[in-house]
Amino acid sequence: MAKAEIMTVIENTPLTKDTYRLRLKSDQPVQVRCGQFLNLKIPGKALRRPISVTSWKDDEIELTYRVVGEGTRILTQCRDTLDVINECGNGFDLTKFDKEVLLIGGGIGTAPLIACAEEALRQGLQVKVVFGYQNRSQTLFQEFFREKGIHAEYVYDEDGENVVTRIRDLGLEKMDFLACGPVRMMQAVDGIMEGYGQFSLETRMGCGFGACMGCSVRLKDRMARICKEGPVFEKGEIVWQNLL
Amino acid sequence: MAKLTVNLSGMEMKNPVIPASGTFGYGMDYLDFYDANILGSFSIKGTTLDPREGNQIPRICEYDYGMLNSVGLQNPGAHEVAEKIFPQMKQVFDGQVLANVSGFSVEGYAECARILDQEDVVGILELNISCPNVHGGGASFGTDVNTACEVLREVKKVTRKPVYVKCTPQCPDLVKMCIALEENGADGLVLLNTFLGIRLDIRTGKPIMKNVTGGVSGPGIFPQALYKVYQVYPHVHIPIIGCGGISKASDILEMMYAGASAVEIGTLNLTDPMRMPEIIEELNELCDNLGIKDINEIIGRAHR
Repeated sequence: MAKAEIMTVIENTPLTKDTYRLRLKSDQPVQVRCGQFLNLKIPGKALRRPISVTSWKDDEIELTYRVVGEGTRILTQCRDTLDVINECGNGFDLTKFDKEVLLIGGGIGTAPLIACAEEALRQGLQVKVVFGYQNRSQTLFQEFFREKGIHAEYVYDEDGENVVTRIRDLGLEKMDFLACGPVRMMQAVDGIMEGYGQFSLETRMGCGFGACMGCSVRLKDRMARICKEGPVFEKGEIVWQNLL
Repeated sequence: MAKLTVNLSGMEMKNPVIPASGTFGYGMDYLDFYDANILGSFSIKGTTLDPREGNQIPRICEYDYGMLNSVGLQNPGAHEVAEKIFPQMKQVFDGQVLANVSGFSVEGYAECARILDQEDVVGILELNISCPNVHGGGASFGTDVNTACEVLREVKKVTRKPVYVKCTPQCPDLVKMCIALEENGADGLVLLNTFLGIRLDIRTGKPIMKNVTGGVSGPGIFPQALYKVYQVYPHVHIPIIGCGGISKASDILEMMYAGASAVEIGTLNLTDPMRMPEIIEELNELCDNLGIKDINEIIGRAHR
């Protein structure tokens, strides 16, 4: 259930040249699910910015965002409180997985998969990870996987590799998976994976809670609002060309 | 406490605040935030005779003082709205709504209106004439007096409900248009729909929205919308609903001073889903502070 609230900024610090960790504190226990997002009001900007949840504990939420334009640049300066709409979207459904899950992420799309890794571990699933970035300076979350004792494969465009080539090299095509990243990466992932999977999509949104229909896309058998029925959809539902 | 109740052509409202079409769905998307019954009314998502999937994404972009949209009238069609959505809507809203009727041909408007006319929950038919006329070279119905009046006359034939025409600011002579609409039976006017605009991607130089252009809304259009209400009011004798960029209680008063009998608020719902209850509260306080006993007294004050 979407919830409007004012949250306190307790950390807003750079992780790499253009990605930041934003930790927010609520005045009540956080009830978010992995794959859901917060829609953040940015001072001086008309529209909110949807940012997916990296992790949460008790009354705190951690987000990871990349500076891509004016709005996220202003966000780097937010130190006090933020007006947020919490618990937006459907989130990933980990109950569909049995024994193991492969997390496939690209760029800032790796952020929501950290919440998935934690949830998967809570459910006793074995977690495998293939994360791709353009170059080493953009690398995120290596420390997280070290702490959890999860072996994570990191691939870089600068080496002429990507998540698809690595998945093939390792023969992981049959695994059930969760994926988030650039549309073309996810489209390529969809093309090689043979098992069950879920993809998290993004687009420009108006409201982020379903009222404006600004983010509706045609899926194979229905129209869906990325902010409300999504952002997570199952493999086989998505018509990739409608997202390009 | 000031008297905020208003009556639009027989439709009683607790206050003059109406979330605008396209920003409030069919009322269900705000249940997480507040009880819709605090509102005067709301205008349903633009509904066409046949279901529509709308435009490709990106459908949305922003500017410093608001947003642009090119949703393209995605809606499930008049039959589904009447049969499936209205029963749900009635569960969450006790009052009557404005049914926004959109179309692409005169016949399409009339048939859509006929279907929605049969519903008790509809207090007013709001005729959205900003749509392109597919039989008229794609020009908007709302930019040509003759086609706009033709749509209105055909709709009036199939309904006994009041018909309010939502005009487009793209109309080259809005005063002339509004006079003609009144002469052709309009029961009220909604001034205005969005202004056409465009944004370009700073990296590629290309339009951000797939549809290239979109409707500009938000606080940045408030003075223009206010001026149109101010301009039209002395020339007509039917109620005007003021619409365009309202973001606070004082904007509502300005719209009513200019001549509006009620207001529609759009973009604000999308950016701040909790603002409607706040703004109604603020309107009450502001009226008290200004010594306004009955909000109906201030309609058109700018002209007296």
